[in-house]
Parts: sequence; structure tokens; C-alpha cells
Amino acid sequence: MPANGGAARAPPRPPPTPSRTEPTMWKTTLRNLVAYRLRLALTAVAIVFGVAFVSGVLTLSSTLSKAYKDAAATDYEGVSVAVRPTGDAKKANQIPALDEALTAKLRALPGVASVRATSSGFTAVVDRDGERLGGRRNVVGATFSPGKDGQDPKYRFETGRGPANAQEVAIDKRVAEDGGYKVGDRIRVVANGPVRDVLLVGTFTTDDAQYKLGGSITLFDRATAQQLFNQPGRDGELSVRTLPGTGEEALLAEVRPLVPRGAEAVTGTKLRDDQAKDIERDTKSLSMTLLAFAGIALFVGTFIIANTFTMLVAQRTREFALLRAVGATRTQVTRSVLVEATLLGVLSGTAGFVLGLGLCQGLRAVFNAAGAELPSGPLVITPNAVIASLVVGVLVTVVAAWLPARRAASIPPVAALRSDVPPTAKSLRRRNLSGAFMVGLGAVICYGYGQLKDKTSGDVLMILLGGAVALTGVIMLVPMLATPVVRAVGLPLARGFGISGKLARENAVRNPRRTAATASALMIGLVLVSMLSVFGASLKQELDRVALRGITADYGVSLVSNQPMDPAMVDAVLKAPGVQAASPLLSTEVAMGTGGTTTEVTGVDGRTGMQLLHADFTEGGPEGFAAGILLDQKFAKDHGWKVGGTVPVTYPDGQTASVTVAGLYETSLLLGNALMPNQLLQPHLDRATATDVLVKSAPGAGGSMRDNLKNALNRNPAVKIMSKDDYRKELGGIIDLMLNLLYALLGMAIVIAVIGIVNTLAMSVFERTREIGMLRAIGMDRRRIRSMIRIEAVMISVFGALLGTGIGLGVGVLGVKALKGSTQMTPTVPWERMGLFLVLAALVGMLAAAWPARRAARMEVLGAIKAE
Amino acid sequence: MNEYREQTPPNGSAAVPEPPARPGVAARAAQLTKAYGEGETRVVALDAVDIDIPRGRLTAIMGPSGSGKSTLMHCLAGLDSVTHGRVWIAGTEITQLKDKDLTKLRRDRIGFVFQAFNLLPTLTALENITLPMDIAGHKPDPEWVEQVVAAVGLKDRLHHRPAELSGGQQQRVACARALAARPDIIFADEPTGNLDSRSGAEVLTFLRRSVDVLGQTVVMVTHDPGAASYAHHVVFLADGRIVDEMDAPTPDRVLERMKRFDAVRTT
Repeated sequence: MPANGGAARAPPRPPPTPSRTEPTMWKTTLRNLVAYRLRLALTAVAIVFGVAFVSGVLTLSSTLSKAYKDAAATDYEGVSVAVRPTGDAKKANQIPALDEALTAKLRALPGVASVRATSSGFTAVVDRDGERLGGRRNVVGATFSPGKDGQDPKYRFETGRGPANAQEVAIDKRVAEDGGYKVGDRIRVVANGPVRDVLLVGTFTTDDAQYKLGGSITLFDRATAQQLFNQPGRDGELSVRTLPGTGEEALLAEVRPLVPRGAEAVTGTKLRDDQAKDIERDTKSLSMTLLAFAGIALFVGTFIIANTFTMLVAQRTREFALLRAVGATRTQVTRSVLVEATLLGVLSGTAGFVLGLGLCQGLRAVFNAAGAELPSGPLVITPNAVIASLVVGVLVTVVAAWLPARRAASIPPVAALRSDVPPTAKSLRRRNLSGAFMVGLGAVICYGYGQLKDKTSGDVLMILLGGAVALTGVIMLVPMLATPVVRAVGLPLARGFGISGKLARENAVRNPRRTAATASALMIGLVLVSMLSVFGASLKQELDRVALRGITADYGVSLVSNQPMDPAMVDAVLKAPGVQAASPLLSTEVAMGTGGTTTEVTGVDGRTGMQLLHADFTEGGPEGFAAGILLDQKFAKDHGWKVGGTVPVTYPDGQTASVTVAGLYETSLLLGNALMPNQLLQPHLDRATATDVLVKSAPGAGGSMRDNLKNALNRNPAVKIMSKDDYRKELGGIIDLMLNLLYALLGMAIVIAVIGIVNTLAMSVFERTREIGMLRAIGMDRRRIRSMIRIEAVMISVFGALLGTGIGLGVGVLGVKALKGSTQMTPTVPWERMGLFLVLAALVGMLAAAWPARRAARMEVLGAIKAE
Repeated sequence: MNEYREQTPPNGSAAVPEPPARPGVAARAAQLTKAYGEGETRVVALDAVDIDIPRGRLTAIMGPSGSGKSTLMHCLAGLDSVTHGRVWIAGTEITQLKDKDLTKLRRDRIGFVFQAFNLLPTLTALENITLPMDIAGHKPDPEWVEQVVAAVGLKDRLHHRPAELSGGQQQRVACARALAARPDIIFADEPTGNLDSRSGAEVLTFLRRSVDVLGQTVVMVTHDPGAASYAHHVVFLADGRIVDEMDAPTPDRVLERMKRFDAVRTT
């Protein structure tokens, strides 16, 4: 072994005190790092990747946070008090009376300089080809709100002026350039209603966040904006600016008594704080999710690191024994290994941090590819990210090296004198017993809490905890499974590849702990990947079933903004040629029963609705629906409501009524808890809230229906017409996108697992140098040495993949079944995908073996035989 | 075992310009030189050695440490490259062969017994014995294997792993493996170096019997005069040259000869 026993070779200085031996131990540690640099480099890669993930996520989070905050910095500049609808009012589709009367009262308050009345909502500019300009986010319309001087300080006009009447608009400079529009052009814009043909009177730039984040802004005069985004005469928000010397709190006290029902008054400080908090929360929830994946990657990494250190210690048995023989204490030996781990952790943590900056950009690209429209902006590097990277790197490495370090210390000095130290294989019995106990405990916890009705979030947490305990138990049992499973998996390979296969199979089961640790790393990644695949497939199938059975309509018409549609558009759809039945789909919250708790209610037309939606009635039926309510049977049972009885309801506007129960239906993802006829619901809503209109085409009209609908809506580019198939594809696409995103995030854990395979094999090859030399001497050619190593890798990776997909599949199926009460989902196993995972695992094994196999095959026969 | 000798290819194939060997020579080296390093650091391990290894005999190569005896064996066996000179194994010149052909030659025509680490720990004794045939993809000849196994005297331990065998037993399994493929020549590198005297005697007796009874050819490198006395013929090496030869050696005569090396050195 090269460069070992630094202590033995150090110049013989007589140490005056025992503590003076420390520098020599240091030297040993440092020389070892150099001597084993190749093997340690592989270990380092595993740490580097894990740390890079952490640093990448933290940097992404601070970068996004900064970008959002910069963009939003000026949004509430100078606002002292704002009056706006409450969150509840928004949910219940109520529009509070923020009108001219209130504006005048606010203006009259002492200390008030100005009041801006604004409304805003989705508005897109239409290009000359009739398509929308810009994406889906931050494409807005807003009120041009001039002060006494006729200027709105928020917008800086480049050309022209602000709009003065319903026939005029101003648009931002960027969208004007994109569309090639100039002041004086007639342009078309579309909000949540028909396309408007208007005169462009000005272009501007602004500090508005939505503009800075890349969106487009269209300005309307106040009355038009009120009509488009609220209702005639009512604004969306009133913001008050004060004269110097008036405090926010004092003004707030004055404003409060004037605030109408459904609205609230808040100070500018609170607005700015809330905005900052919202941004913080949003970026934090993103980074927490991503950090969970980084955690998985690091967890997998610890297996690899522990494996490497175990192997390094085994290979250096004689060296440690020699150190002990010349007088090093156990503590010194343990410490020398841990110091080695710490140095490695610091180096890898630093490298990981730097790589993380690149990864941050990669994550941005991945999310943007998935349609996230993240803002651009320079990377923001925080000291936290640097510290976290180093701490994580060192901690993970030292924790993983702990047990191997203790093992190194327990090597007896006499081992230095023996030429062949037989590897003492510790019995797996204790490990198996503890593993089995943990699996049992986890299963009991999961089952116990799974049986509970009305699970609280604490119960769900316990179920997850039980799962984690059981998984840890399984990881402990993997060495026991290694020998029989690898033998079984290896049988066809051993048969098919002659002596290389046979030797590979024996090598793979030679050290069950090592094989298990290597395979576990891959297993963990695949458990999660397969579990998610089962969930995804089951959800997709359920959506298919719901779409096929639950919707009997042929088309759904909605807006790209998913905002409520203009009533005129709903009318146009209802009157389109070829329509047999059509109904707007309303959605609101209604309080039912005496408790006053609100529940989500879907509204459809009382006469035609049940031709468009399908419910599996358990009692009653659609006959009495025009004047009654339909309920989920489980929901009704819980409240003791029966067909023919009445339910007390409180509508969003505060009015109460008793509604007759016309029927009960089986639980459905689509229908929710309650269906009400629009005829009962609509009078209690302040505005049209139909986000979708369902359409069934008359017999024979099928082929031209889509065109008929388009024409009926004047080919409005803000409208989306989707067939049942389109819906299924869109929902399926969303699920696929989510799955792919999760696969990509788990990919890091799998990459680390692959590095683990490379590492284990490379070190096994090193350990078996003499064996390989002997095989070469007695006539095994390079090609077969190579295939021997490759086949071993394939066996290990397929073993890990089999365990991973098996467990993931089981957990997925059980999880879906556990959710059955609320979703009707039935477990679906995507077998082809599972098969693909196994094939990929085998390929990954081949790939991981490429370098170790080459090394093994290139060994000089004589050198290998003579190697110590 | 005359049929075995007839299996060897005819001597002096067309590719070899110089008639390589007399009949009855299993391996031959001509002007074999092996040097390490360049210029001032150049060390000559073998200096123009000419040697014929006779067929059907147990030849011992002896010499003090650093005499080049192991290097000579490695070069003869095609494990090491040569600086000058030529080497033939059973009429084939191996100094010209590419790695692939050399591997094949080792597989089919040469058997090896090393000082240590001779067996694969994952295979049983019997599997280790038949390993060369497995590698070659040949079916082992059951009669021959049985004969070899009987000669090694390990019939009841064939299904044990090496870890369950004593050092002497392991080395006998290694000898059996070397014999199992019926090679033209077996090279044994300090086969008793790691064994106690009793186990060593067992192994050497077996090697000698494989020559006398089974008609094999064995070349053994050793520094132990006792081990050398089992040979038919001893070649003495010093400073990379053959300095003496001896037929029908006894331990005393070999020891006597070796002492003279020491004397030369100390004076």
C-alpha cells in the first residue's frame, strides 16, 4: 500500500510528552487524503452533489425573493391607507360598495392628499392575427386614475396620453412594440368578455411589479375598468395618500367607520409587510419542497460515504494496526479517520456550494420549462447558503464516517503482524432482528392510525412516521435479502455469460453488507419514483373515469384566465347553433345546516344541468333538481339529511332559506359535496361567476360544434373551447408534468446512487487486485474480466431496483387505497413504466461499471499478482 | 502418458526462423535479458540467459534473493516482457505474441501455482480446480480430473470453500488446478513459501508425483534447499546469470552450493 504508515516513517523525534504525537497523526491523516485521493474523490462527488442541491435551492430562493421584492418595491409607494374587499368577500363573489360616494368621503377627510380608485383583472392585447400577446401571467388591465393635473403618477407616458372614455386605451411600451402598434391605431383588447375594438391613445412605462416581471398592462378609464373587473360604479381598491404630517394610524381610525360591508381598511405599512411576507412565504414553500428532495439526495449520499469509509478502513487494516502497535490510542485512530472525513467534508462542501450556483440556474430552467414563468435577475448569494453548504457537507460526511472510524479503532495491534487478515464477517443476526422489529413497529403504527376515522393532520404525520420507521427497517434487512435475491436475479446472467457471469454472481453476494449499502442507495430513489408513478397513474385513471362517466357534456367553454365570464358571452354560448343543452357552471361557498360552516357548492342550470353532468344516484334523482338540492350521500349522511327533507342554507349575501333535498349521489371528485340549481343560487351572487359553460351538441351538430361556438363568441382569443378529450389530455398533461418534475428532482438522488455503484465497484476491483491478476495469469482475457465486473454491477443495480420498485409499488397501492374514502380512486400500477425502471437500472449498472471494469481489465498481470 | 506428449504441436513452426528446441524441451530461453530503468539507474535482472527446460522433469530454479530467479520464471511463463532475447513454450515463440494470444497461450498451455492467493474465495475447491477449463470454455475430462483429485488426496474436501481448508490443502488445490487443464508446463513460484514444513512436504511430494506418475513438466522457483531437493534437476542463478546446475540434488548438496554464494558475497 502506498504512502501508508506515515507515523512509522516520520523522523524519529523523541516526543517529550504523549500529546506531541499529534502532529504525526495529522501528517498521517493528510498523507492518507493524498494517497487515497482517487477513491476519496469518488466519495467527494456524492457529497458535492448533495451539497450542490442544498446550495442551489437556497440560492434560488434568495434570488427569486430578491427579484420579486425588487419588482414589487414601488407598488405601494406613498400609500397610507387602502380600502379593499376582504378575503371572504372575494371567495363568496361579493363586490363591496367601493364607489364614488365613498371616494368623495375619503377625499374629504382631513390630511388626505389624494385617493386613487383602481380596478384590475385579466386583459390581453390581441395581435393583428387575432392571437393574444404575452403569456398567461401578469397580463392585466387596470384603471387609469389621473389626479387633478390629469396625470397618473404611476404611469410615465412615452407617447400620447391616458384613456378618457370607453373607446380609448393606453398600453405599455413593450406590448405596443410586440404588437407593432402606434398611438392612433385601432387595436383590439380582450378582458373576461367580448373582444373590444378600441383606439390606442398612449404608450407608457411603469414600475408596476407585473410589468417588471414581464407582463403586459392595458389602461382603461375608470368607468370601463369598473364595468370590466367589478360592476358598474364600484372600484376594486381605493388607496389614500396623505399630506405631510398625517400619520397612517390616525387616518386609519378615521377611515374605518366609512368602510362598507365586505371590505376592510389597512395601512400602507401593513400592505407592504403583507406583500413582503407573501413573497417570503411563496419562495420559502418552494425552497422547503426542494430542500426535502435535497435531503433525500443527502440521505442516499450518507450510504455511499459510509460504504466508502468502511471499505477504506478495511483496506487499511494493517496500517491502523501498525499505528496502534507503535502506540497510538484508539481515540487517536478514531480521530484520524474523523479528521479525514471533516477535511473531505469541507472540500466537498466548498465544491458543492460552487456547483450549486450552476444548479440554481439549472433549476430555474427546469421550472421555466414546466411553465413556471420565474423572474430573471442576478444570482443572490447569501452567507447562509455558504454556511449551510459547509455545515451540511461536514455533518453528513462525519456522521457517515462515524461507525467506520470506530471500527478502525477496534482493530487489534496484532493485525499488523499477520500477513493475511481474514475479514471478520460479523453476524447479521442482531441487524436482522432489529430490522424486522422496526418493520413490524412501522406497520403497526401505519395500520393503527390508518384505521382511525376523521384523521387529524397529527394522525397523518404518525402514518408517515410509521412509514419512515418501516423503511428504515427494510434498509436494515437489505443485507439479508441480498444473498438470495441477487442469486436469483443473477441466475439467468450467470447461465448466459459463462464463467464471467458465474464469478460476477459469486462476487456480488460475497459481502452482503456492501452490496446492500450500494443497492439501498438506488432503492431509496426508486421507492419514491415508483410510489409517485403509482399515484400518478391512479389519479390519471380516476380523472379519465370521472371525465368519461361524470361529464356528459361534449364541450366546456372557459376563459384562458379562468376568471368568471361576461354574461354576454354565456348568453352567446347558450344561443349558439347546434346546442342541445348548455349551462353555466357556478362555484361558490354556501353555509349549510345550523353550524354555519361553509361548503363548496357547484351550480348548474336546474333544467338542463343534469343532461350535462352525470351522477350515480343512490336515492332520489334529477327530477326535483329544478327546485331542490343534490347532495353527496356521505356528506348528507354525516349531517342526517334525507331525500324529501330540507336543508337550511345561508347564501353568500347573508339571506337564508330552506331547500328541499332532491337526491343523493355517490362520492365524486367532480361534483363535490353539493349541486344546486343556478336558478336558486344566481340571485344571491353579486356578479356572474360562471367560469365554465358546459355544452352538449344536438345530434348531427357534432362535427361543426367547435366552430359554431367559436363563431358565436366572435373568435375571441381569450376563450378556450375544450372537448372532453381535451380536458382529459390537459389534466393528464398536468399530472405528467408534475411527475416529470418530481422525477427530475429525484434524479439527483439516483445520480448519487450511481456514483455509489461506481465507487463500490472501483474499490472492490482494487481489493481483488491479486484475484484478478490470478485470473488473468491462468488465462482469462481482458474482455471477460470486463464483463465480469459489468455483470456484477448489473446484478447489484437490478437488485436495488427490484426492491425499490417493489416497495414503492406496495406503498403506492396501499396509499391509494387509504385515500379511497375521499376520492374513489382505485390503485393503478403502470407496469410498463415499472419495467422501464428495471431496464434503466440495468443500463445504469452497465454505465456505472464502465470505468471500474476498464481499470480491472487493464491491470498488469504480474503487478496484480505481486500486489500486496 | 505418452499420448499427452503427442498432443503438443510440432516443433519449429514456419513462423520461427531458428529451430527453437530439441524434442523433449518444454520451454526454452535464448539470450534472455531483462533490464529495468535507463542509463545510470539501469538494473539488469537477467543477463543473456540461455536455458532449456526439459520435458517430463521437475526443474528447480534456485538462487539468493535478487538473483533474478523469479524474473526468469515470469519471463518464461509470459507474465513479463523481455528486454532482449527470445522465449519459446512448447515450440511457440512467445516473445512476439500480443496480449490476447499470450492470454490464450497461458490458458491452454501453462499452469500456475503461486506463493499465496492462489484460489478464488468465492468458489469451492472443485470449482477452483476446473476454473481454467471454465475460462477456456472446455468440458473438463472427468477421468483426468478424477485422477488429479485422487493424486491431491482431497476427495472429501472438494465442496469446501478455500477459507475452510488449511494452507497446505489450499496449495494442493492450486496444484490440482494447474494440472487439471493438462498444460505443457507448470510454473510454481515459491509454492511452499507460506507453508509449514509438513504442508510444504505434502505439496512438493504432490508436484514430484505429478511429474513421475502423471508425466507433467514442472518448473519451480524456490530459495529453500529442502524444496529444491524434490527436483530432478536444479539450476542455480546469481546476479542474473546461470552459474551452476545439479542433477539428482539432495538438501545437503544444494545447501552446500548455496553457501558458496554467501561466501562470495561476504568476501
